[in-house]
Amino acid sequence: MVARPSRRTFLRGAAAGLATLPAVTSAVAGGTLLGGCGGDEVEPVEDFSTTPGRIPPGVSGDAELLGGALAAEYRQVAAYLSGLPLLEAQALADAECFLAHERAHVARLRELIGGLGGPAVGPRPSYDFGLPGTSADVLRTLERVEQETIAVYLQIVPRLTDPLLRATAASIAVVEAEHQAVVRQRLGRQPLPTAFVTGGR
Amino acid sequence: MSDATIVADALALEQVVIASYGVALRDGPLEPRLRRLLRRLRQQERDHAAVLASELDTLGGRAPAAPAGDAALGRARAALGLTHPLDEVVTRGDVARFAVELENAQMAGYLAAVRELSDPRLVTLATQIMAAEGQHATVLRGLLSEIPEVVVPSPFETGDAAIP
Repeated sequence: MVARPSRRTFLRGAAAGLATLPAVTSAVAGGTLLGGCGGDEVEPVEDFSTTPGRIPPGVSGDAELLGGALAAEYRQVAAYLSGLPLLEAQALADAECFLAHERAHVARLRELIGGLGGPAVGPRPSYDFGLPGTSADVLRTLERVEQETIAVYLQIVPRLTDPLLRATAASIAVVEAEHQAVVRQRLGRQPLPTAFVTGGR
Repeated sequence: MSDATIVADALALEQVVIASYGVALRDGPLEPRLRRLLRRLRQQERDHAAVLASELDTLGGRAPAAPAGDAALGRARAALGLTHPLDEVVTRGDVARFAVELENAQMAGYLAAVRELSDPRLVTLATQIMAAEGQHATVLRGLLSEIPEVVVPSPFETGDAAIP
Protein backbone atom coordinates (compact mmCIF):
# COMPACT_ATOMS: atom_id res chain seq x y z
CA MET A 1 0.00 0.00 0.00
CA VAL A 2 1.28 3.44 -0.90
CA ALA A 3 0.86 6.48 1.28
CA ARG A 4 -0.86 9.09 -0.80
CA PRO A 5 -1.96 12.63 -0.45
CA SER A 6 -5.57 13.57 -0.36
CA ARG A 7 -7.04 15.01 -3.52
CA ARG A 8 -7.39 18.30 -1.69
CA THR A 9 -3.72 18.28 -0.69
CA PHE A 10 -2.72 17.58 -4.23
CA LEU A 11 -4.87 20.30 -5.69
CA ARG A 12 -3.69 22.85 -3.16
CA GLY A 13 -0.13 21.99 -4.00
CA ALA A 14 -0.92 22.14 -7.65
CA ALA A 15 -2.36 25.60 -7.29
CA ALA A 16 0.85 26.73 -5.67
CA GLY A 17 2.75 25.24 -8.57
CA LEU A 18 4.35 22.45 -6.54
CA ALA A 19 2.94 19.56 -4.58
CA THR A 20 5.27 17.66 -2.30
CA LEU A 21 3.93 14.17 -1.92
CA PRO A 22 5.10 11.26 0.19
CA ALA A 23 7.88 9.48 -1.67
CA VAL A 24 7.36 11.56 -4.75
CA THR A 25 7.59 15.10 -5.94
CA SER A 26 4.94 16.07 -8.42
CA ALA A 27 4.35 19.43 -9.86
CA VAL A 28 1.82 21.00 -12.10
CA ALA A 29 3.72 23.58 -14.03
CA GLY A 30 1.97 25.40 -16.81
CA GLY A 31 -0.85 22.89 -16.50
CA THR A 32 1.39 19.94 -17.26
CA LEU A 33 1.60 17.11 -14.78
CA LEU A 34 5.16 16.24 -14.06
CA GLY A 35 6.11 13.22 -12.02
CA GLY A 36 9.40 12.40 -10.39
CA CYS A 37 10.44 9.09 -8.92
CA GLY A 38 11.85 10.42 -5.65
CA GLY A 39 12.88 8.19 -2.81
CA ASP A 40 15.80 6.64 -4.69
CA GLU A 41 19.31 7.34 -3.61
CA VAL A 42 20.73 6.91 -7.08
CA GLU A 43 22.11 9.98 -8.77
CA PRO A 44 19.86 10.86 -11.69
CA VAL A 45 21.52 9.71 -14.89
CA GLU A 46 20.27 10.58 -18.31
CA ASP A 47 18.92 7.40 -19.83
CA PHE A 48 19.18 6.69 -23.54
CA SER A 49 15.49 6.05 -24.15
CA THR A 50 14.74 9.54 -25.39
CA THR A 51 11.70 8.21 -27.24
CA PRO A 52 9.34 6.37 -24.88
CA GLY A 53 8.82 2.79 -25.97
CA ARG A 54 11.90 2.65 -28.16
CA ILE A 55 15.27 1.02 -27.58
CA PRO A 56 17.86 2.26 -30.10
CA PRO A 57 19.24 -0.47 -32.38
CA GLY A 58 22.80 0.20 -31.20
CA VAL A 59 22.06 -0.77 -27.62
CA SER A 60 23.58 -4.14 -26.89
CA GLY A 61 24.84 -6.21 -24.03
CA ASP A 62 22.57 -7.62 -21.38
CA ALA A 63 23.34 -4.93 -18.77
CA GLU A 64 22.70 -2.08 -21.19
CA LEU A 65 19.49 -3.69 -22.44
CA LEU A 66 18.23 -4.17 -18.89
CA GLY A 67 19.12 -0.53 -18.30
CA GLY A 68 16.61 0.34 -20.99
CA ALA A 69 13.98 -1.68 -19.16
CA LEU A 70 14.89 0.02 -15.90
CA ALA A 71 14.45 3.46 -17.47
CA ALA A 72 10.98 2.44 -18.63
CA GLU A 73 10.11 1.14 -15.18
CA TYR A 74 11.16 4.39 -13.52
CA ARG A 75 8.88 6.19 -15.94
CA GLN A 76 6.02 3.91 -14.94
CA VAL A 77 6.62 4.50 -11.25
CA ALA A 78 6.46 8.23 -11.90
CA ALA A 79 3.29 7.84 -13.96
CA TYR A 80 1.48 5.91 -11.24
CA LEU A 81 2.68 8.20 -8.45
CA SER A 82 1.64 11.27 -10.40
CA GLY A 83 -1.76 9.81 -11.19
CA LEU A 84 -2.77 8.55 -7.73
CA PRO A 85 -4.24 11.84 -6.49
CA LEU A 86 -6.81 11.87 -9.29
CA LEU A 87 -7.89 8.26 -8.89
CA GLU A 88 -10.59 6.93 -6.61
CA ALA A 89 -12.18 3.67 -5.50
CA GLN A 90 -11.32 0.61 -7.62
CA ALA A 91 -9.04 2.46 -10.02
CA LEU A 92 -7.05 3.77 -7.07
CA ALA A 93 -6.74 0.29 -5.53
CA ASP A 94 -5.55 -1.06 -8.88
CA ALA A 95 -3.00 1.72 -9.29
CA GLU A 96 -1.58 1.24 -5.80
CA CYS A 97 -1.14 -2.47 -6.45
CA PHE A 98 0.41 -1.92 -9.86
CA LEU A 99 2.75 0.75 -8.50
CA ALA A 100 4.03 -1.84 -6.02
CA HIS A 101 4.63 -4.19 -8.97
CA GLU A 102 6.57 -1.52 -10.87
CA ARG A 103 8.72 -0.89 -7.82
CA ALA A 104 9.39 -4.63 -7.56
CA HIS A 105 10.47 -4.56 -11.21
CA VAL A 106 12.83 -1.66 -10.50
CA ALA A 107 14.36 -3.53 -7.57
CA ARG A 108 14.82 -6.74 -9.56
CA LEU A 109 16.30 -4.99 -12.57
CA ARG A 110 18.73 -3.02 -10.43
CA GLU A 111 19.78 -6.27 -8.77
CA LEU A 112 20.30 -7.98 -12.13
CA ILE A 113 22.22 -5.06 -13.61
CA GLY A 114 24.39 -4.91 -10.51
CA GLY A 115 25.06 -8.63 -10.84
CA LEU A 116 26.27 -8.03 -14.38
CA GLY A 117 28.61 -5.29 -13.19
CA GLY A 118 26.66 -2.61 -14.99
CA PRO A 119 25.78 0.85 -13.71
CA ALA A 120 22.13 1.20 -12.71
CA VAL A 121 20.44 4.06 -14.47
CA GLY A 122 18.71 6.45 -12.08
CA PRO A 123 15.35 8.06 -12.64
CA ARG A 124 15.06 11.31 -14.48
CA PRO A 125 14.37 14.41 -12.41
CA SER A 126 10.91 14.65 -13.94
CA TYR A 127 8.62 13.09 -16.52
CA ASP A 128 6.02 14.87 -18.63
CA PHE A 129 2.69 13.08 -18.75
CA GLY A 130 0.66 15.81 -20.37
CA LEU A 131 -2.44 17.44 -18.98
CA PRO A 132 -4.52 14.99 -16.94
CA GLY A 133 -7.54 16.64 -15.36
CA THR A 134 -9.72 13.65 -14.61
CA SER A 135 -9.33 10.06 -13.53
CA ALA A 136 -10.06 9.02 -17.12
CA ASP A 137 -7.17 11.20 -18.30
CA VAL A 138 -4.89 9.47 -15.80
CA LEU A 139 -6.06 6.03 -16.88
CA ARG A 140 -5.44 6.89 -20.54
CA THR A 141 -1.93 8.02 -19.62
CA LEU A 142 -1.31 4.83 -17.64
CA GLU A 143 -2.60 2.70 -20.51
CA ARG A 144 -0.22 4.48 -22.89
CA VAL A 145 2.75 4.16 -20.54
CA GLU A 146 2.05 0.46 -20.00
CA GLN A 147 1.89 0.00 -23.77
CA GLU A 148 5.20 1.80 -24.27
CA THR A 149 6.82 -0.34 -21.59
CA ILE A 150 5.55 -3.51 -23.23
CA ALA A 151 7.12 -2.26 -26.46
CA VAL A 152 10.43 -1.78 -24.67
CA TYR A 153 10.41 -5.33 -23.33
CA LEU A 154 9.48 -6.77 -26.71
CA GLN A 155 12.59 -5.13 -28.13
CA ILE A 156 14.78 -6.23 -25.24
CA VAL A 157 13.74 -9.85 -24.65
CA PRO A 158 14.94 -11.29 -27.98
CA ARG A 159 18.25 -9.39 -27.73
CA LEU A 160 19.20 -10.68 -24.26
CA THR A 161 21.80 -13.42 -24.47
CA ASP A 162 21.21 -15.01 -21.05
CA PRO A 163 18.15 -17.30 -21.17
CA LEU A 164 17.29 -16.64 -17.53
CA LEU A 165 17.36 -12.89 -18.10
CA ARG A 166 15.12 -13.37 -21.13
CA ALA A 167 12.64 -15.25 -18.97
CA THR A 168 12.70 -12.62 -16.24
CA ALA A 169 12.17 -9.82 -18.72
CA ALA A 170 9.35 -11.75 -20.40
CA SER A 171 7.67 -12.41 -17.06
CA ILE A 172 7.71 -8.66 -16.39
CA ALA A 173 6.43 -7.85 -19.89
CA VAL A 174 3.45 -10.13 -19.31
CA VAL A 175 2.60 -8.37 -16.06
CA GLU A 176 2.67 -5.01 -17.86
CA ALA A 177 0.21 -6.51 -20.35
CA GLU A 178 -1.96 -7.66 -17.46
CA HIS A 179 -1.91 -4.15 -16.00
CA GLN A 180 -2.85 -2.78 -19.39
CA ALA A 181 -5.86 -5.12 -19.60
CA VAL A 182 -7.15 -3.94 -16.22
CA VAL A 183 -6.64 -0.28 -17.08
CA ARG A 184 -8.48 -0.78 -20.35
CA GLN A 185 -11.38 -2.34 -18.42
CA ARG A 186 -11.53 0.66 -16.10
CA LEU A 187 -11.75 2.85 -19.19
CA GLY A 188 -14.65 0.77 -20.49
CA ARG A 189 -12.55 -0.60 -23.35
CA GLN A 190 -12.15 -4.17 -24.53
CA PRO A 191 -9.37 -5.61 -22.33
CA LEU A 192 -8.44 -8.29 -24.88
CA PRO A 193 -8.29 -6.42 -28.18
CA THR A 194 -5.75 -8.60 -29.97
CA ALA A 195 -4.37 -12.13 -29.91
CA PHE A 196 -0.80 -10.82 -29.97
CA VAL A 197 0.37 -8.17 -27.52
CA THR A 198 2.77 -6.04 -29.50
CA GLY A 199 3.02 -2.85 -27.47
CA GLY A 200 1.59 -1.04 -30.46
CA ARG A 201 4.53 -1.84 -32.67
CA MET B 1 15.54 -29.03 -27.94
CA SER B 2 15.18 -27.61 -31.44
CA ASP B 3 13.08 -24.58 -32.26
CA ALA B 4 10.79 -26.81 -34.33
CA THR B 5 10.14 -29.09 -31.35
CA ILE B 6 9.45 -26.13 -29.05
CA VAL B 7 7.01 -24.61 -31.54
CA ALA B 8 5.33 -27.99 -32.08
CA ASP B 9 4.87 -28.41 -28.32
CA ALA B 10 3.36 -24.92 -28.05
CA LEU B 11 1.03 -25.69 -30.94
CA ALA B 12 -0.05 -28.97 -29.34
CA LEU B 13 -0.94 -27.17 -26.12
CA GLU B 14 -2.85 -24.48 -28.02
CA GLN B 15 -4.84 -27.23 -29.72
CA VAL B 16 -5.78 -28.77 -26.37
CA VAL B 17 -6.82 -25.37 -25.07
CA ILE B 18 -8.92 -24.68 -28.17
CA ALA B 19 -10.63 -28.04 -27.85
CA SER B 20 -11.22 -27.52 -24.13
CA TYR B 21 -12.86 -24.17 -24.75
CA GLY B 22 -14.89 -25.84 -27.48
CA VAL B 23 -16.27 -28.45 -25.08
CA ALA B 24 -17.14 -25.80 -22.51
CA LEU B 25 -18.96 -23.76 -25.16
CA ARG B 26 -20.74 -26.85 -26.47
CA ASP B 27 -21.83 -28.34 -23.17
CA GLY B 28 -21.95 -25.56 -20.63
CA PRO B 29 -25.22 -23.70 -20.03
CA LEU B 30 -23.27 -20.46 -19.89
CA GLU B 31 -24.67 -17.01 -19.38
CA PRO B 32 -24.21 -14.84 -22.50
CA ARG B 33 -21.39 -12.75 -21.07
CA LEU B 34 -19.33 -15.81 -20.20
CA ARG B 35 -20.09 -17.39 -23.55
CA ARG B 36 -18.86 -14.25 -25.36
CA LEU B 37 -15.69 -14.25 -23.27
CA LEU B 38 -14.90 -17.91 -23.96
CA ARG B 39 -15.54 -17.39 -27.66
CA ARG B 40 -13.08 -14.50 -27.71
CA LEU B 41 -10.48 -16.53 -25.83
CA ARG B 42 -10.92 -19.48 -28.17
CA GLN B 43 -10.60 -17.25 -31.23
CA GLN B 44 -7.38 -15.74 -29.96
CA GLU B 45 -6.01 -19.22 -29.23
CA ARG B 46 -6.92 -20.18 -32.79
CA ASP B 47 -5.00 -17.15 -34.02
CA HIS B 48 -1.98 -18.29 -32.00
CA ALA B 49 -2.27 -21.80 -33.37
CA ALA B 50 -2.43 -20.56 -36.96
CA VAL B 51 0.74 -18.51 -36.61
CA LEU B 52 2.56 -21.32 -34.81
CA ALA B 53 1.54 -23.79 -37.52
CA SER B 54 2.89 -21.43 -40.15
CA GLU B 55 6.18 -21.01 -38.27
CA LEU B 56 6.45 -24.75 -37.78
CA ASP B 57 5.96 -25.29 -41.49
CA THR B 58 8.73 -22.79 -42.22
CA LEU B 59 11.01 -24.68 -39.84
CA GLY B 60 10.25 -27.92 -41.66
CA GLY B 61 8.41 -29.40 -38.70
CA ARG B 62 5.24 -31.37 -38.72
CA ALA B 63 2.12 -30.07 -37.00
CA PRO B 64 0.80 -32.31 -34.23
CA ALA B 65 -2.69 -33.69 -34.64
CA ALA B 66 -5.38 -31.89 -32.67
CA PRO B 67 -7.29 -34.07 -30.17
CA ALA B 68 -10.07 -35.81 -32.07
CA GLY B 69 -13.07 -36.35 -29.85
CA ASP B 70 -13.69 -36.03 -26.15
CA ALA B 71 -11.79 -39.17 -25.18
CA ALA B 72 -8.62 -38.02 -26.92
CA LEU B 73 -9.02 -34.58 -25.39
CA GLY B 74 -9.39 -36.13 -21.95
CA ARG B 75 -6.18 -38.12 -22.40
CA ALA B 76 -4.31 -35.07 -23.71
CA ARG B 77 -5.53 -32.97 -20.79
CA ALA B 78 -4.48 -35.62 -18.28
CA ALA B 79 -1.04 -35.85 -19.87
CA LEU B 80 -0.67 -32.09 -19.44
CA GLY B 81 -1.79 -32.19 -15.81
CA LEU B 82 -5.04 -30.32 -16.47
CA THR B 83 -7.44 -31.41 -13.77
CA HIS B 84 -10.53 -29.20 -13.93
CA PRO B 85 -13.49 -31.39 -14.95
CA LEU B 86 -14.77 -30.47 -18.41
CA ASP B 87 -18.34 -31.17 -17.32
CA GLU B 88 -18.18 -28.63 -14.50
CA VAL B 89 -17.97 -25.37 -16.41
CA VAL B 90 -21.23 -23.63 -15.63
CA THR B 91 -20.92 -20.84 -13.11
CA ARG B 92 -18.74 -17.78 -13.31
CA GLY B 93 -16.37 -19.37 -10.77
CA ASP B 94 -16.25 -22.62 -12.76
CA VAL B 95 -15.41 -20.78 -15.96
CA ALA B 96 -12.70 -18.73 -14.31
CA ARG B 97 -10.99 -21.68 -12.61
CA PHE B 98 -11.29 -23.94 -15.65
CA ALA B 99 -9.86 -21.33 -17.99
CA VAL B 100 -7.17 -19.95 -15.67
CA GLU B 101 -5.79 -23.48 -15.43
CA LEU B 102 -5.50 -23.54 -19.22
CA GLU B 103 -3.97 -20.08 -19.45
CA ASN B 104 -1.49 -20.84 -16.66
CA ALA B 105 -0.34 -23.97 -18.45
CA GLN B 106 0.23 -21.98 -21.60
CA MET B 107 2.11 -19.19 -19.84
CA ALA B 108 4.43 -21.69 -18.17
CA GLY B 109 5.04 -23.29 -21.56
CA TYR B 110 5.77 -20.02 -23.32
CA LEU B 111 8.09 -18.90 -20.54
CA ALA B 112 10.12 -22.07 -21.04
CA ALA B 113 10.05 -21.41 -24.78
CA VAL B 114 11.42 -17.89 -24.28
CA ARG B 115 14.36 -19.41 -22.42
CA GLU B 116 15.05 -22.15 -24.93
CA LEU B 117 14.27 -20.81 -28.40
CA SER B 118 17.31 -19.82 -30.46
CA ASP B 119 15.63 -17.66 -33.12
CA PRO B 120 15.07 -14.13 -31.72
CA ARG B 121 12.02 -13.68 -33.94
CA LEU B 122 10.40 -16.71 -32.34
CA VAL B 123 11.36 -15.42 -28.89
CA THR B 124 9.44 -12.24 -29.68
CA LEU B 125 6.46 -14.23 -30.91
CA ALA B 126 6.43 -16.40 -27.78
CA THR B 127 6.56 -13.29 -25.58
CA GLN B 128 3.71 -11.65 -27.49
CA ILE B 129 1.54 -14.74 -27.14
CA MET B 130 2.44 -15.24 -23.49
CA ALA B 131 1.42 -11.63 -22.83
CA ALA B 132 -1.95 -12.31 -24.47
CA GLU B 133 -2.40 -15.40 -22.29
CA GLY B 134 -1.57 -13.24 -19.28
CA GLN B 135 -4.30 -10.81 -20.29
CA HIS B 136 -6.72 -13.73 -20.63
CA ALA B 137 -5.84 -14.95 -17.13
CA THR B 138 -6.25 -11.43 -15.77
CA VAL B 139 -9.76 -11.04 -17.15
CA LEU B 140 -10.67 -14.51 -15.88
CA ARG B 141 -9.31 -13.85 -12.38
CA GLY B 142 -11.37 -10.67 -12.48
CA LEU B 143 -14.48 -12.85 -12.67
CA LEU B 144 -13.63 -14.11 -9.20
CA SER B 145 -12.67 -10.90 -7.45
CA GLU B 146 -12.02 -7.20 -7.97
CA ILE B 147 -9.20 -7.25 -5.45
CA PRO B 148 -6.18 -6.21 -7.54
CA GLU B 149 -3.87 -8.63 -5.75
CA VAL B 150 -6.15 -11.44 -6.98
CA VAL B 151 -6.55 -10.07 -10.50
CA VAL B 152 -2.79 -9.54 -10.99
CA PRO B 153 -1.28 -11.65 -8.21
CA SER B 154 2.44 -11.14 -8.75
CA PRO B 155 4.88 -8.62 -10.28
CA PHE B 156 6.40 -11.56 -12.18
CA GLU B 157 4.09 -13.77 -14.24
CA THR B 158 5.30 -17.34 -14.49
CA GLY B 159 2.02 -19.16 -14.95
CA ASP B 160 2.22 -20.83 -11.57
CA ALA B 161 0.11 -18.50 -9.45
CA ALA B 162 -2.42 -20.33 -7.31
CA ILE B 163 -5.85 -20.38 -8.88
CA PRO B 164 -8.08 -18.33 -6.55
